[in-house]
Amino acid sequence: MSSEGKNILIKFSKRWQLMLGFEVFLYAFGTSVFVYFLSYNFQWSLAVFVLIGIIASIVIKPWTPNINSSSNFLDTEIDSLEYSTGLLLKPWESHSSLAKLQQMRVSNKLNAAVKRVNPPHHLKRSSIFVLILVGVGVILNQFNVLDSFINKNIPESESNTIIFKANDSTSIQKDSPKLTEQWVTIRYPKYTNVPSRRVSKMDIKALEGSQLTWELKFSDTIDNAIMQSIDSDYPMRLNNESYTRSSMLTNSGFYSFKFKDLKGNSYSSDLYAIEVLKDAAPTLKLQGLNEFISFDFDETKTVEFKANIVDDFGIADAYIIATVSKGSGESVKFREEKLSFDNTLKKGSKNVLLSKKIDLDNINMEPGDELYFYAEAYDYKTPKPNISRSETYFAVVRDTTSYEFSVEGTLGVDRMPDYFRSQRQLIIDTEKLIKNRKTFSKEDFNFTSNELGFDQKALRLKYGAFMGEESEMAIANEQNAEAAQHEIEHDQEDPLAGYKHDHDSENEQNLVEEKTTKKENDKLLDEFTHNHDDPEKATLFEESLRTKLRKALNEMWDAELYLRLYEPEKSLPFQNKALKYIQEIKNSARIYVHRIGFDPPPIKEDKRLAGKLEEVKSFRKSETIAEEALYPFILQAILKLETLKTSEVLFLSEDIEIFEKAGSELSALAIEFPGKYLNALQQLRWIIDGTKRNKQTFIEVQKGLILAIPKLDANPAKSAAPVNKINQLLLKELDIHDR
Amino acid sequence: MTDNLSFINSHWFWQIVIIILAIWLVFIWKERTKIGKRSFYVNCTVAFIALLSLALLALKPTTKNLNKSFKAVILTNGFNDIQLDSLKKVYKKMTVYNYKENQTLIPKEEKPETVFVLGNGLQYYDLWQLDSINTIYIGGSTLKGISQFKYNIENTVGNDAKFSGQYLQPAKGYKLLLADPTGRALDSIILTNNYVQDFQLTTNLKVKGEFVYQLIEKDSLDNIINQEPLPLIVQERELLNVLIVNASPSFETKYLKNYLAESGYKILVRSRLTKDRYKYEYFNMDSKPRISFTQESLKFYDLVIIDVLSLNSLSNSAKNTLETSIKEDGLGIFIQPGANIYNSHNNWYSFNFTSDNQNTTSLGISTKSSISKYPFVFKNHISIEPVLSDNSNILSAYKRFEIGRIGTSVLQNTFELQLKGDHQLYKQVWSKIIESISKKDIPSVKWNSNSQIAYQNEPFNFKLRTIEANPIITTQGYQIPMKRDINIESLWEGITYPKKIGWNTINIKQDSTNTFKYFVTDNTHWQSVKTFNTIKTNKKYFEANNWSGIKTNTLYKPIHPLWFFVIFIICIGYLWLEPKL
Repeated sequence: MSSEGKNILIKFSKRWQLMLGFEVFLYAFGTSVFVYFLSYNFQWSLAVFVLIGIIASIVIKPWTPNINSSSNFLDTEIDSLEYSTGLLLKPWESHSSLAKLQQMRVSNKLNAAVKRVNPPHHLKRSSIFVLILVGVGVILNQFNVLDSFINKNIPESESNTIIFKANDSTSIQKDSPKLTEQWVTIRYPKYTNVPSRRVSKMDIKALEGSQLTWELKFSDTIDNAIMQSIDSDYPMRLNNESYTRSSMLTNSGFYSFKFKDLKGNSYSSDLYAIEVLKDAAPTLKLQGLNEFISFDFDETKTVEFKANIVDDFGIADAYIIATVSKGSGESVKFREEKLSFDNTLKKGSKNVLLSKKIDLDNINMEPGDELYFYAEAYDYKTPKPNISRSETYFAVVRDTTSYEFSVEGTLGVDRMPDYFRSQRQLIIDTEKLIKNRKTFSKEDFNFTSNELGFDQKALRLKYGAFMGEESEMAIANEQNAEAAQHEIEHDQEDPLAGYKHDHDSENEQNLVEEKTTKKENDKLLDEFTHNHDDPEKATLFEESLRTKLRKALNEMWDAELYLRLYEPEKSLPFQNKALKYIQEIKNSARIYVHRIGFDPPPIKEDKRLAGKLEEVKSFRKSETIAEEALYPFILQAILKLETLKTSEVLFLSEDIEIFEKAGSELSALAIEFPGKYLNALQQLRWIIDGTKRNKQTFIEVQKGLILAIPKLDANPAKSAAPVNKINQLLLKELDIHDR
Repeated sequence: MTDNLSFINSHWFWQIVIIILAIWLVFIWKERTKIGKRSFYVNCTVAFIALLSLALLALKPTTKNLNKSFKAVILTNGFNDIQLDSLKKVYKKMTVYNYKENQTLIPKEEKPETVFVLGNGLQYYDLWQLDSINTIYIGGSTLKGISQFKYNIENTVGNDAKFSGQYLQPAKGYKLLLADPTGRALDSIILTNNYVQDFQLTTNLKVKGEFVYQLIEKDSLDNIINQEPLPLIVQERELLNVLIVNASPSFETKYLKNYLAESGYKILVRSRLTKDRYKYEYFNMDSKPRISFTQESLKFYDLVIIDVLSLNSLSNSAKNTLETSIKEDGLGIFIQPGANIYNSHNNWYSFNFTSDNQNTTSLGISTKSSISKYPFVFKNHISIEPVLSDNSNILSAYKRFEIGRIGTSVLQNTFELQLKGDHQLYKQVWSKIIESISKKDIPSVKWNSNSQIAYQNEPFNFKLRTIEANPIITTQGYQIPMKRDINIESLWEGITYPKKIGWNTINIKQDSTNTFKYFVTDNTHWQSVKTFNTIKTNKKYFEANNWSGIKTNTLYKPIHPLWFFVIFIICIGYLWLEPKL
């Protein structure tokens, strides 16, 4: 009887334990489902499950409820038990009779009460927790919130399973070894700070210098596995049940796998491509300054700019190279300085914005000095970093003290300020004025025309000076010149004049004086003119020059007249004539100098035309410049394929050799044009391995090979022509009668 | 009557007549007792008849079968029902034969007076069956498809293979494609709706070997209608040995020799620097032969390129050797033109020119670029064979000297083409000139066939030129009997019946290296061309036979001997019974 009540208690405590255990499970399950939704990784979620399970069970302690604690619980929970469940725990025999009675009563009551009472638990709470976690997990999963996070932690699950084909298609067996795992680990060079990747995709794109490790795992033991590249085979090492091979990535190419099972059947895979990415050099951009900056001496001479440097795997260093040049011509001196940026470069960052302020005074630049500077940056690439530099910028402190004669472009003259306009300029301006007549108001037009007239006059006066004409009108330059002349004239006057008595020699003196001034004047003009009055000096040539100038001046008079009358159209023909005369005058004054050529050394008379050839030798040279035939093995392979295609010929080992060599010729092309030749190369590999040797493959490969051969040039070749007696007789007869 | 009667055993005629007469005379002598009586005459007559029939039994007389003449119709593939019906309307009693290839057409005893052939006609190897019969070829419905097709089955690497043909009644939008052995289209043409369309397809040959190209006919929806094989034998280029002799170095020679040397030819250039001093350049040559104008040393070269100045300054003996080398060894000489070549007329090597006062021209092969030339063109003459010409003028030509050739051109400074960047044209011009003039290989055996393609189980005619006295020709272990040409000693003819589809070979026992390769296809290919040729041969054949007028059918039929035997029995029976009655 007592055991019955005890059993109920045991049952109850078991139920309690179960409920707590279920609570623990719910917590663990909820979190693990959540983790799975985020990561899609079963292992991760299992680990989380175990971890949370342990934590939760430590907290909840599902093993704690035992018979005593349940009896205590029931006693407090159910009043009708009268705190007597403890009796049930004690053996029947040890009880007093009253106790026995009470025990029986309690045992009956307990039986009914237990069904109403549940052990204390937080199942509701934990199931809500689970529901929330699962819901959040689903939502996060739907919106791919943590995709980036996933990609970093978990190997890429994108897979292209390597399909191995038996090379001897007749012996395809069911129990051939299967590939169970395929991995490529790409370990980027250390400096890139890119974590190594483990992918199952066999087409690889990776940075130059990366370490590649292939791992293949098979379901059964196999004899050996080989990795084939275009020109050589590399055996794979057996390491921990998987076949591995590592290599350093240096250039693009293709590879495939091949393995042999224990029965001696060999299998080979498709071709996979390796593409090498080059570490790009940093790009540098200087912002906020012009290529050429100049400062005046009294300005604040600072150059301020920002440099934006970008690199794909981090920048190692950046600085500015500044060169200061002092002096000019042969005494120029250079001073080079390496300047660092104002703000420090965070090494290894991929995109930085640095600034720099160069104070020209700080680097001792004086007027006339020039500063050339450019920024340089390099990255972490080993063994040799990529270095790149910006364009060169100039900063100049202007030197206002020196005037330099410069020859610019086509203009071979020193550019003087234009005090007056040339005749050509006048013509251009006049034409412009006529053209734009409509846009001018009448006043403006008249004003401009008048201005041109003035310019024309100034020009005429200038030329007139050559003719010895007086300048009756004061223009700035002329006036000054005249004033100066007056001064000179005054100076040259007799210093004793004030003290002398003029009357002493009034007539003579005056006469003489007048003569001297006239002489002075003559002397001034001597440079330009000739005295026509003196027949000894006059030449025909000079006379015409002078008349021409006279004519030009006359035309200028007329031109000015019409400009002043606001009729530039009428003035134009005169201007043109004037220009023509001036040009003629200019040309006639030109001096032509003969070019200096090569002056051959004199030939000795006795050696000339001797006709001796002793020292002239015949000359022999031998050369082999025949161009090598392109793709000799591809040609052979095409021919071989044709016979294989059309007739039942057995495949020989020599054929394989030809195909191998043709394959390496083709692969060189395939790297360049993969779209064109990769398919053919792949199928050629099948033919070599014996995976697929049927007509369709032969045709496909042949197609690719024929495509690879370039068009040949026209070249003469020997042809055949049979000769027979009758033909020969005929030709002979023809020959005889033709003569 | 006598015209219509003849005897099979006519050679016994007189013997039999004498014997019969002798027997009859004996009979008359035996019957002399009854002379004067009526029975005497009757008996003698009966006896004569009996003897006569006996004699005829032996002589086997035949009669001309005039009464049995009739008209017949032979139906071949592609005949027209309407034609047959209208023929039947005119000739009520007409026998109709169906033509089957390679089988007896008309039974021996039946000899129709006139035979009408309907449809595409008989195969050429069956035509003989109608030799003795008056035949009228009517033909059938008009042909559609490729009617003519021509190309060189043998070609050289680097050359353009040209496939030209004619298409009858093309459907609009149909396409002809030339495809390489892998089925990749190389050239194509779209057919228009003309009655006849000529077409030409071209491709550059890149690989040597025997290949089967394809001519594919597609409709406007790109469905393949027809696919015909085009067997091609592509041979490796055989390189030439060239000797260049110049009186002074020139740009023309410089560029020419570079072009040839880069292509792998063996070239020796001698250009004179000054008197008796020369510059020798050996390209791709292992040995360094000296230049001497002897027939022996010239044998090495296939072509001598020489300028006029050098040629004129050669000694007489050297000139003569050169001439004999051309005539006997087939050497080719190309004279580099110079202004003085156009004035000399009296040498064996000179050509006749007429002035045309034009300094540039464009060639037929590429009308775009112009080439400078001397203001002359070749005077057209029967002995001159043109190599290059613009529209009507010959710019480069050669003449034959027995088996050799000597040629020149009026083009000058062709290297300008190279400088202009027109390398292709330069190469085309010179490869044409050199190829036509240079020495030809004289093969010991030269195979030839009229038809490009052989058909399985059909006769394939081939010709063979060989200097062998008695060539033994085998194919697949069988010997083929050869027929020698009546006039040409070295020409032989043979027929074989190929069994295997694909490339077949014919070998000559005397020269095992020399085999003749030809392509055999089944009867489904090239049907339209084959049909067209059949129609043509039929027309030609029957027209040629027809002009001789209508032949009478002289069929002599033996009279059945039973008749004579019956008469003989009756007569003898009478003579036996008459005394008893």
